[in-house]
Amino acid sequence: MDRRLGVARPPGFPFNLNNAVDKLLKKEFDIHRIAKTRHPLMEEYNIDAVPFQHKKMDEWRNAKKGIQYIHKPTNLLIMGAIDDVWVNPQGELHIVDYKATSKNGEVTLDAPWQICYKRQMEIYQWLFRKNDFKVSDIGYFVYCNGRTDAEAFDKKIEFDVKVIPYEGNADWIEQTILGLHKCLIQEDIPEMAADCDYCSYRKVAAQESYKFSKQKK
Amino acid sequence: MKISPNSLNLYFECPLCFWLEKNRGIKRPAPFPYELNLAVDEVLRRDFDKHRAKSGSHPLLEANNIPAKLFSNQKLLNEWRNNSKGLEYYDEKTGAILFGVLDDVLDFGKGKLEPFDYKSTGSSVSKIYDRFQLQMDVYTFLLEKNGYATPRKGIFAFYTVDKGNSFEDRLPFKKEIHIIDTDPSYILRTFREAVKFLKKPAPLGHSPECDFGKWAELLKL
Repeated sequence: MDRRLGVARPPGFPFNLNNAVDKLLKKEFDIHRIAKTRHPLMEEYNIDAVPFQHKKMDEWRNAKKGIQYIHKPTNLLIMGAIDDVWVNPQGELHIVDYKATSKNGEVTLDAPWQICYKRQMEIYQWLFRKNDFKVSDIGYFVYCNGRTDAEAFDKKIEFDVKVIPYEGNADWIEQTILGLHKCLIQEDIPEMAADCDYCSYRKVAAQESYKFSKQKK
Repeated sequence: MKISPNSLNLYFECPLCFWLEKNRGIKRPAPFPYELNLAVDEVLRRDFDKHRAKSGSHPLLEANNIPAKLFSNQKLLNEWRNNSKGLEYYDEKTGAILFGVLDDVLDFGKGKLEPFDYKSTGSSVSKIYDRFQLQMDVYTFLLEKNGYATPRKGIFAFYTVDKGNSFEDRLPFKKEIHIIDTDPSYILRTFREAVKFLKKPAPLGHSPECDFGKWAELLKL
């Protein structure tokens, strides 16, 4: 419905603190991109790479453009906007995504819902490979965890920043694109997933008001 | 039945969504939690509490020449801050409770209290949305019904991200104080109207402005 009818799910309030963290991190890594030096985090985590310089960097980061690829068998345009790309001495690219949260304990990628982070990384790796870049299977999440135990607030929230490597596997992507294309070209609106919050809400709202409209008649 | 400023806001926005939530316990789909805003709130509460225990004044209030102390009754404030309790008004006429969960309260002396709310945002400008005004109007109403005098004002501490600054493992903020006039005169009427509305059958559809209604409407094609 989003793609065919242009009917997107109702949006929530924007996550503009998270966007702000992304923006400041980009600025910080850009300093090292220009200087072709390692960021202190890369040194701390022994990552032999520097931020990648490329004339399309801004375009790849732009949510309206991103890195794109036309998937020939389906004629679908697949795109994604990245946070960062690093390059190692062998000329391989590491895709990088920034995440910001605030929770007790260490941040990990182990929660079931974080499968969406992994898929996101795998799509970006696939897109760069399809654009003829040499891409490492290892991508990095720069994960910022806001601390609530800091002594005084004054003017800042402090973060523990961790770099989490992730080994991507793009095997599922080709099949998935074929599947979603099949879904998109069918004439009937597909069934809702049983656990879809949005469709369930729409259904219940319609049922409740329908009940009363019937009683009235 | 308990009604909060958020519920009233939903009542204005879409009576059907409000009815479903309060009458059937069916809520709009929840977004991901706003973890960073919650973190800022938590850190701010602790910072203000530290100053409350020390002198009752706070550098931010002093810098803005606000002649008030932080409300000194920490125990009571903790109750007002508690999501499952809050500051309440029980309405005998309807048997319903109007309540609000406050961030903080300022004491202007002679028993005059003013609601004080922390807002954090990543956008560059602070903005007083209609829902913020309603929130402060309700808080003012609740304070007055609980026997306090108020200057009929609400005060916000806005923390907006200082994007000109660098990251360096922290999110830098700029601080701003905003004071608004509050009007509690319409709150009781609105609250009773909303409660009365809940006792009626569900409305036949969403309001024309409701995002969920627009969405559902488009899908009927």
